[in-house]
Amino acid sequence: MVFVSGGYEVDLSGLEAAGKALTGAAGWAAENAGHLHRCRTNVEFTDGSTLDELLRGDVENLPLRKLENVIARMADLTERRQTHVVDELDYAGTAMLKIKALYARADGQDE
Amino acid sequence: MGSYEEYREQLFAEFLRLAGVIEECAKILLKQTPPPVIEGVGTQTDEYVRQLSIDAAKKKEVVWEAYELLGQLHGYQAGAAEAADQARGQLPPVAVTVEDVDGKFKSVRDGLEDWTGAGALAVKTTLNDLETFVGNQSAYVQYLDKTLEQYALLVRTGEDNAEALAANITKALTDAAKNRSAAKVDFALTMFYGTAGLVEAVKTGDPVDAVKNLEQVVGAIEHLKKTWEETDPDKIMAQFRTDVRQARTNLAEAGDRLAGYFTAMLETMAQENNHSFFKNPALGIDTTSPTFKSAEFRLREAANWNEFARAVEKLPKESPAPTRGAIAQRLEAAG
Repeated sequence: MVFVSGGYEVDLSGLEAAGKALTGAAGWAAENAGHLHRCRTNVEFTDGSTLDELLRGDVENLPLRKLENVIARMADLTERRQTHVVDELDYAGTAMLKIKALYARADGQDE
Repeated sequence: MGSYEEYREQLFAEFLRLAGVIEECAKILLKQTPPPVIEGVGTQTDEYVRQLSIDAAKKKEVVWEAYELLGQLHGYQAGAAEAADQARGQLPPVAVTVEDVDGKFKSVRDGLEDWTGAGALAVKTTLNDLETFVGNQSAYVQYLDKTLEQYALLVRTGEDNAEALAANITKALTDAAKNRSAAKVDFALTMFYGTAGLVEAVKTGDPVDAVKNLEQVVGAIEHLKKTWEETDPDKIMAQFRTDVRQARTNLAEAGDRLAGYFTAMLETMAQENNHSFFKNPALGIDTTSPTFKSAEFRLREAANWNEFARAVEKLPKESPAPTRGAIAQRLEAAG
């Protein structure tokens, strides 16, 4: 339903559809986050340490150590960023539904 | 087990054997009085054992140095390159394209098409920012993928070089011992040659496009011809030492070039991870807060997003949990 007032319009069902689409995108992003996590747990370095062991700090003087530190940090940040993507999409979906509810209430539809 | 691991095991076994010889010699020299007569050595036993001990100690040092240097070049564990391959296997489904993200957002845009006014504009702008943020994630995943690919290449090159050096030091020392006139070995080392100018050019380019250029940052692969032609084991070791260090330095520099390339990007990523979109508290609409309550506002105010946000902001923060209204119940039922 489209609500028209004071020179602007609100499509409440559109807001609801947008909210659901965003929540759906969040689910898709969450699947990808799972892949990124498995990528992270697979990484192993030339001294046999895992990514998390390296992030905890290591001073082994190996030729590729600087790059290994970058890989550890990049994999960690990418995984966190993906989690952030999931979180924000989910939040955006909820926000759309809440905004819809606010408009509906202001319109007197809240019985 | 690859040949390199076999060589390393052989070196370690030789180190232990030599350590055993020294220990035996020490026992004989310290404990046995009068010195035992070793067959064929006769009364010179004491001097013979002493000499044997000194020889073994010298060789032990050389063997240990070879073992250590190769470890520093190759690393101490096999399997890092294979692990990187495995890790990359998880990434193709995540490396979504901008079109994928656009597809996900299309129904969002469609839904909001008929919504106009300042509030709508603010929401749509934030959604555009969010779409860009989600889209850029695929660039970061591609960087991770390509970096792991280059890492695996570097690790494998280190392994190959370590194997070539281990095989040839063994051959050179054996040949020198057997036949002093024919101790010559030819072999190649794989090296990376990058150019600083190119790295700079890549740095200033398009970040997404630059993903393709990581190989150039690491450097072009070239095979360096090496010849050891010495009869003296000490001089052969000196050549070995120089070549292992050169291979190690070359590998480290290639890895460091790639690592250095990402310094700024990692900082940007870390900052981006703090960026909020609809969750931004400045918007004044913390919809997931348990104390969140619908604003008592009129549509007239809602036409302006800032007014709307302020209206929400004015709500008492410490109010008791609101009872669920009919709309909320309907929305929950619908969800």
